[in-house]
Amino acid sequence: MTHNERLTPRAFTAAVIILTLAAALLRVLWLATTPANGDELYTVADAFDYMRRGHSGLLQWHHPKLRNVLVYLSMTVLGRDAFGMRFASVLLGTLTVPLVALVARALTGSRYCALLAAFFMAIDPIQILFSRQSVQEVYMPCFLLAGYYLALLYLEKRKPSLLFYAGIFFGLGLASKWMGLAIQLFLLVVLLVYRFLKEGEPGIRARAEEFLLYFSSLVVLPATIYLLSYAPWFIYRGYDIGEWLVLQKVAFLENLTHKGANAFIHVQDHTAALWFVRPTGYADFMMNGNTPIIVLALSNPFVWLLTLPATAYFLCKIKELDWRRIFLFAVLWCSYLPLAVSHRVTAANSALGILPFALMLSASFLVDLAKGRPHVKRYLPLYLGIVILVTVPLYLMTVGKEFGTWFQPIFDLYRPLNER
Amino acid sequence: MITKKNGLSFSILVLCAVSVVALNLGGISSRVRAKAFALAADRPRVHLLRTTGGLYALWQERHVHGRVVVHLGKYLHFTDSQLSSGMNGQFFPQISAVARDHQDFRMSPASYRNFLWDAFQENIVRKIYNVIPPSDFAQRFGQENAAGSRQEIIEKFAASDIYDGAQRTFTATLPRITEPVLLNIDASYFGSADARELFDSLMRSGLRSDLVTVCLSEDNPDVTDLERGRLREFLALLSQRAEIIPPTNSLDSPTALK
Repeated sequence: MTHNERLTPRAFTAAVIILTLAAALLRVLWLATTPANGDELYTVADAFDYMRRGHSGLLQWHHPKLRNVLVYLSMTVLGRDAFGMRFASVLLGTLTVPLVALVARALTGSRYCALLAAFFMAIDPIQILFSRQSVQEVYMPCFLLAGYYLALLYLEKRKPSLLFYAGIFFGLGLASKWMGLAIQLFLLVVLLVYRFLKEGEPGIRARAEEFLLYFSSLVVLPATIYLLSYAPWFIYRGYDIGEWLVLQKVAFLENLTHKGANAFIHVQDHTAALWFVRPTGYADFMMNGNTPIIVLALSNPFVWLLTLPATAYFLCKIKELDWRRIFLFAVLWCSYLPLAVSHRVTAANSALGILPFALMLSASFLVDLAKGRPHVKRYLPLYLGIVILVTVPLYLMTVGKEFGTWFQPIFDLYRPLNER
Repeated sequence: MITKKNGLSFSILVLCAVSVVALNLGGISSRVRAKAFALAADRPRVHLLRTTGGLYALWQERHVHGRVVVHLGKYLHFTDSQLSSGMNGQFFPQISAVARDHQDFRMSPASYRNFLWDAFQENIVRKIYNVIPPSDFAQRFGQENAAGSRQEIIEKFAASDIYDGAQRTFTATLPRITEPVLLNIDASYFGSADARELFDSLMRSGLRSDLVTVCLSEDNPDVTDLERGRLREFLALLSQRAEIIPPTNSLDSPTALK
C-alpha cells in the first residue's frame, strides 16, 4: 500500500487547511504590537509616494513596484497602522504554505511529502519573520509557487487557460522581486517543451501553436504585468518607454551590486554558501517607545540542514528518479548555486525564493527513507517532535519576545563585533 | 480557423502591445508644455528672474510637468532635503505620520541649494541636464580627484544620484535633444564662461524650448556680481534675437534689470 492510498484526498485537504490556519496564526500573533523597523517605514513612504506621484523612493528604487501597490492598497483599505502595512505580506506568506503542499504533491506524487513540506514552511522562522514585515520578500515565492502549480496542472489537463493564469502569477512574481525568478521560469519552459516533445501532438503546426502559447503566456504576459506595475511612474512623471528601458538597465546594474542601506546587515554573516551547512539567521532592530526590540530569525537546523543529505540521497538514486523529482532537484540547485557562488551580499531573505524547493526535497527524502522501513518510520514522530520543540524558542525570538531573557547569548552572537 | 490556443496567444500579444503603447502615450501626454520655439529660428520670450526661488515659482505658475530641464550653471542645486515633518526628526516615527507626510519627508522649500531637487520631487522635471562650464566641469569631476579616471568618477557620481531611475546628466557641452526643454541659464555659468561663446553655442545647438529663463541667482551667496555682470552682457546679446520679459512676481522685482 502506498502512502497516498492511506491518506485520502479529503484528509489531505483537511490537513492542508489546518496547516494554513496554523501558519496564519503564527504570522499574526503580536503583529499589531510589533513596531515597524526602518525598512518598513520606507515601504510606507514609498508606497504612498509611488501611488500618488509615481516616485519609488530613495533607497529601494531599484526594486520592482508591486510592493508599493499592495502596501498602499492594504493601508488604504485596512488602515494606516502596523496591520494595514503588513497585510499583504501576512496573506502571501500564509498562502505560501498550501501552495507548497500543492506543488510538492504535484512534483513528488506523495501527499505525505506534500504535508511535511508544508509543515516545514508553516513553522519556518525566516519565512515567518518576513511574512510579518511589510517588505516584499515573501511575495515572489508565493506567486512563483502559484504559477508552478498551474503550469504543472496544465501538463496534466492541457487547458490553455491554466498557462494564462500561471503567466499572471509569474508576472506578479516578477513585479515583486527579480532574484531567481528568471532561472525558475526558464526551467519551467524547458520542462514544458520537453514534455510536449515527448508526449504532445506531432507535427510542426501543433508544435508551433504550443510553443507560441508558452512564449506568450510565460514570457510576454509576465513581462506585460511587470511593465503595467510601472503605470504610476509613467503617468505621474511623464516618462516614456525608452526611458523605462534605461531605468531597467540601471536598476539591473544596481541589483547586481546593491548592498542595502542598513549597515547592520553587513556585520551579520549571510554567506549563502553556508545556508544549508549551519543555522543561518536574520536579525533586525526596532524601538517600542524607549524599549529596544530585537527580532532574530534563525533557521531550524533540524529542517534546513536536511537539504544536503537529501541532495546526496537523490544524487545516488538519480537514475531511478522520474522527471518530476529531477525537475524539483534542478529548480533547487539551479536557483541556489548562483547565490552560493555570488560575491554580492545575499542576505537570508533571499533564501526564501529557493526554500520551498529545499523543503520539498527534504520532505521527499524523509518520506522516501521511511517508505517500506518500519523501524525508520517509528522515528519520524520523534523527529517531528524535536522539530516542534526547537521551533518554539525560535519562533519567540522571531517575534521579538526573547531579547533580554536567558536566550540573550544567542542574540549576542548577532551583535556587531565591536560591541561584544 | 483560429484555435483556442492561438486565440489566447494572440490575445496576450495584443494585450502586451496595447500596454506598451498606452503607457508610452500616457507618459508623454502627461507632460505639460506650451508652444515650443527654436532658439535660433524664432524670436523667443526669455524670462529674466532675480532668484532661483522666483524661477521655481515661475515653473509652478506655468504648471509645467514631466519635463526635461537644461540648466546652465556651475552648481547642481540638488541637495537632498533633510528629514522634515514626515519623519518629524525621529528615528522611528509613527506609521501613520509617514503615510500622511510621505512627500514632505523629502521636501523643503525651494532655494538655490535644492530647487532642481524639488522640481524633480514635484514632477516638474523628469530629466536634468546640468551643463557646467568646461573648467568647472573638469574641476568637479576630473582633475581635482586623483582617485580614479574622469569617466569612473562621472559614472560613480551619476549612479549615486539616480533616484527613481531619473537621469541626471552632467556635461560641459549643450546636449542634443529633440524634445522641447525648459532652458535655464544661471549667472553662475559665467564665472569661467564667455557670454558671446555661449550665445553662439545656443544658437547652434538646435534646442527647442517653450520656457527660457535667465536667472541672476541673487539668493545664491556663491554667485558674484562679476558673474551677474557677464550675464547682463549675455542678455544684451540675447535681446537681439529674443524678447526679454522682466521679473513680474513678488520674488522678482524689475529692479533686477538695473
